[in-house]
Formats: sequence, structure tokens, C-alpha cells
Amino acid sequence: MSTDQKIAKLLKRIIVILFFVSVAIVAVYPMDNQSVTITIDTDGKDVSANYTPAFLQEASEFSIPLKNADKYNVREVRFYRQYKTLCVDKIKSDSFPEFASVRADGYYFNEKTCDLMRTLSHTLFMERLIIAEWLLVLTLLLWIIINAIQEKLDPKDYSNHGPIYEIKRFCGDIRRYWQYMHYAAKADLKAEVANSYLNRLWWLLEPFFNMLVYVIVFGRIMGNSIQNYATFVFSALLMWNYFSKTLNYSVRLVRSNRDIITKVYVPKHVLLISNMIMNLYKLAFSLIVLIPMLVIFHVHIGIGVLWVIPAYIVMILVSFAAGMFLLHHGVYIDDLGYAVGILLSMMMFLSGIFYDVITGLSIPLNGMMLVLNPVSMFADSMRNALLYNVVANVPLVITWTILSLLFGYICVHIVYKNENGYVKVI
Amino acid sequence: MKDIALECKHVSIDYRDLSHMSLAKSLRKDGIKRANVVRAVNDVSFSVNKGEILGIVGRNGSGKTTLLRSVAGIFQPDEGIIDTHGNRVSLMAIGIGFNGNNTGRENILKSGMLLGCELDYVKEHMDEIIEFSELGDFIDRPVRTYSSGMYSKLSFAVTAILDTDIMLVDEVLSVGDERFRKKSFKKMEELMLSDRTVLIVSHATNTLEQFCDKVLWINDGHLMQLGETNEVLSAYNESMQL
Repeated sequence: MSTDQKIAKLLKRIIVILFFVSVAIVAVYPMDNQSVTITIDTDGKDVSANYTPAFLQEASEFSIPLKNADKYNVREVRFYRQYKTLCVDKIKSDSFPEFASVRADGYYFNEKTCDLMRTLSHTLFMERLIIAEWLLVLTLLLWIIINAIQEKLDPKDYSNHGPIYEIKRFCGDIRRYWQYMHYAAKADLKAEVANSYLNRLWWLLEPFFNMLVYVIVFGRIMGNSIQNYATFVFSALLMWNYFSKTLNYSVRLVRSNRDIITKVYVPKHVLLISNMIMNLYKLAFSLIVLIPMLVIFHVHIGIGVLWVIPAYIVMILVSFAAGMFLLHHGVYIDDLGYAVGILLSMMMFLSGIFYDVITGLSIPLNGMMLVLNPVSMFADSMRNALLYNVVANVPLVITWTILSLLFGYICVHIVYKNENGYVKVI
Repeated sequence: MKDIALECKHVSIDYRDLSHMSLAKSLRKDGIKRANVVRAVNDVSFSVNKGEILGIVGRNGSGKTTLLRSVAGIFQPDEGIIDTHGNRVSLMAIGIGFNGNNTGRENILKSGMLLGCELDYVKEHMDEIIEFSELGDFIDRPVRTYSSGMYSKLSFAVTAILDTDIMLVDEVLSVGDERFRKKSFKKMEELMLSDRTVLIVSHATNTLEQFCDKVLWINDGHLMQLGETNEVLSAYNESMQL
């Protein structure tokens, strides 16, 4: 190995070490106490108030005035720090009486609330995690640059064209195979139901009966404190299904498409995207079922509902990046499919599809789940926007968009480098 | 001097036996080191002129198909360069991406587009393909209901009708019944007369004699002989005698 290669390898190792060191520094670096915003989400309107750390240090009780407060129904109380969309803690409606009393002229919060807000003002756990994610963004960028230089310097490497060429090639592939991807998605969708009696009706029936189960089981039998629990679960499950179907397919992708791959050259992400388009069609049919559900349960739709669009985009980007990663490793590792299956079923229950992550998990775990697990993040953002008209997790959505784009690029690069070897393995 | 359509320079292709690796093994990272390496094609160089037809002969397992596949871009040579000079290459193979639950028509569109053709272009040639495949009403039935002969006829029709600059044929001339075989022969002749560059892998020496301008003989991955059809074929036949 030449000295250039050795230096590049060393540099890569150094940036990885630097990343961990800087994360450790971020974790322990002393930060000032933050002011805490409290928002009371009632059926009629939201009221919020901001309290400085100095005030919280002393306070043992405080009140938030609101005319006819006793007429409104409190859905939940949310706490924010400096990110005005990133909820750090919540009080659910059923435990609300423990924290405050409601009078005609406002809400009177007690000692317990002040204690809670005091702790919230000096643990900056989620903010630190977000900084760590940005450090990861930086590390990935540096890694991409060093890797590109390393490949340029390698005389034995014929496919060293650099990131810009690869991005162009990727876009070219998408343009060239767009018709195929779209047509194959539709044809595969049709093939699934083509020989059945009810034919295309299945696309609507499946999500409809799914929904019915959730309404009956979760809405009636398990009677939950979350408002509109059936829609709450169903809407998040649609996202989860998309994510897990894409991942499960991508592990087996090269093997199950060996008919194509051994006979003609096709960029492998084309096959993944084609499957993702098919899953999007299925998702769209399920959304058709979701809309009457929103009407039946009197969900108030506001302008905030537009925030579901970025949530869905992040979902697609994260699925693609993770799918490309699994696509590559699924070729070489036989039992990866099992591992992914187990991990996914664990993830489904951990990611807060059936509960609200912030209230459902205990305090350090819930922040970690929301910030580090993209599934919790996009499901939570989508639900808040769709069901409660709340724009949530803006910094997380931005961070994960960038992270998944970078990670997606790295995986596309790896697949481009190795895809011609896949045929030899399968 | 004619234009060169395809050039292979010192091409070597390895097969690594990596297929069965478990998660635990891959984490220990010893899977790759212990893999058996088999050299399927060893230092083969040749070039094909535009419009020329090259036959490839050799015993079973001598690396013919491997060579053809890497010319098609399906996998990369481990050493050497394959230069197709920007020509579109297609490997004529049975059933590219056919899904049994889709109808014949849908599968034609799918595999046509996989070969790099536009949707409209495939649609234009749809009737021609259907006619050539002799499937009749079966074209709108799911492919899983086809007999194996019908299946191969359909896939041959797709690759035969849709144009590419360089065609790679891997022993598909023995497809279907006698009538269809004659028809494919005629189609092949037609293609030979056009400007198409063709590489044929076959064991049937009389087929090669009929079509090829040049023949390449490989044995155990090594290039044995490259030259005039009759010369190479007679040398090859001699070596095949018991």
C-alpha cells in the first residue's frame, strides 16, 4: 500500500476518533440553564408562557390566566426549551389535576410543576444529542471528502470519479429508468392481486379492515388516555409499514431479483426505488381510508397539517438510505434477513407507534428515542401535525433530512463500487 | 479499416466463493480471507469490428458465459479493460425480470425497459414482438400459465426485436419447436445482414460455421485460438474427439 493510502486511512481513523471525543465533550460541557416555555393545549385554544431560570429557581407556584378556563378541556401540557417546536416533556390530561388546579380565570400550577420545570431548565440532554448529530453530519462530510481523495490517488482503482460525478450518475440513472421504475411498481402491485376474486378492491379492503381492528381494539377495549387513539395508532402504523416493508425487501433485493441482475446491467437502487414506489401506492390507498376516519372522529384539521409533508419526505429518505445499506450487506451476509426482522419488530414497539414517546417512556430514554430514532421522530411529527395541528420537531426533521441524504450518498457510493461483484456472490 | 465496436484487453475475471457467510462470521471478518478464488477467465484479449459476428466456443465451464456477462456489464473484470466504445450491449437471455403473475404484455414492457429502451419505443414494437413470439391470445394471460416453450419464445422475441448495437447470444438458438427454430435462424440471419455486432456462444459448430466471421476458442479461461471460423472450429473439433 502506498503512503498516500496509509495517510488517508489514518485520517479516516482520526476523524472517527475526533467525532467520539467531541461527542464526549458535548456530553459534559457545562451549559447555562435555559428558560422553559409551558404550553397548555386545550380544545379551544393554546396558551403559553415563558419562565426564566431565575424565576424558576425561586418559584413554588405560578398561574396562567385564561378566561373561562374551566370551560375548556385540557388535552395536554407541553414544555419547551430553546427549540420552540421540540417538546421536552408533557403532562397528559389524566394526570393534569396533580399538577394544577383549574379556576374560572386561569390555571394555577403547584409546587410539583415548578420542580419539574426546574429540572427541565438544567438538563439539556436533547439539545446535546442534537449537537452530537450535527457533529455526525460534519464527520460524514469529512469522510466523504477524504474517501474521494483516497480513491483519486489509488492507481488500481478504475472507478474513481468523485462524488459530483456519482451524484450526476445517480440522477441520470433515475431519469433513464424512471419509466421502468414506475411501470414495474404498477405491474408488481397488479401482480399481487391479479388472480384474486376481489382484484383491485383488496388495496382498499386491507387497510380498511386493519383500521377496523385498531378502532375496536385500541379505541374501545383498551380505552386509552390519548385522544382519538385509533387514528393515533393507525396513522403511525401506515408510516411504520412503509418503513419496515422497504427494509425487509431491501435485504433480500439482490437475491430475489437474480433473474434480472444476472441477465442485464441495472443500477441496483433502481430496483429499490421501484419497490418504494409500489409501497407508496399502497400507502396512498391506506390514506384514502384514513381520511374518512379523521372525519368520523372529528379531528380538527388546521394549517399545521402541512407539516406532514416534510415528515413523509424524511420517512422516504431514511427508508432509502437504510435500504441501500441493507441491500449491499444483504448480498454477502446470509442471515442478515433474520437479524433485520428481529430488530424491526423490536423497533416497532420501542419507536412509539402505539404510544406517545415523550409520555410513554421514562425521562432519559424518551429524549434519546425521539432524537436518535428517526422512526419515532417522523411518526411523532406526522401525528402532531395531522391530529393536533401542532408543528413539532422542526430541528430534528432538518437534521435527519441532511443525515439521511449524506448517509444515502455513502451507501449509493458503496453500491456503485461493489454492484458488479454481486452476481459473483449470488 | 473498419470501426472497432468492442475491445477486450487482458481481461481476467475471478470468482470468489463468498456466497455463504453468516452474520457472526462476517463480524469476525475472516470470511473474506478464507474465500476460494477461482479464475474463470484468464488474460483474454480480442476486438470485434462493427457488424462482425464472433463465435465463442469451449468446453462446459471454460468461462464463455462469464466472459459474455462481463461484456454485457453485468460484472466487472478483476483485471483488464472492456471497452464497448459507447455502444449499447444486450445479453440475449431467457426471461429478463419476468414476473409470473404479470401478463405477457406487461412483461414485454418491463424487460424491454430493462434493456434500456423507452416505453414508447417498446410499445411501438409490441405488435411485432407478439407476432414474432407466436403466442396469440396467450399474450394477455399471466406468464406462469405458459409452457416452457412459450416462455422462451416470448423472451427470445423481446431481445430479438428490440434493437441494441451489440448483441450477445448465449445458446438460445435452440428455443422452441422446429418451426420457431427456423424462424429464429432467419431472424438471426437478418440481424447478421444488418449493421449489428454479435457475439455468439454455442456448442453447435454448424450454427457457428453458418454465421460467424471469426471464432474465439477458450479453454479453462485461457484464450486458445482466435481466427477464421473454419480453422478454429476444426482445431476445436479435433480436441473434442474422444
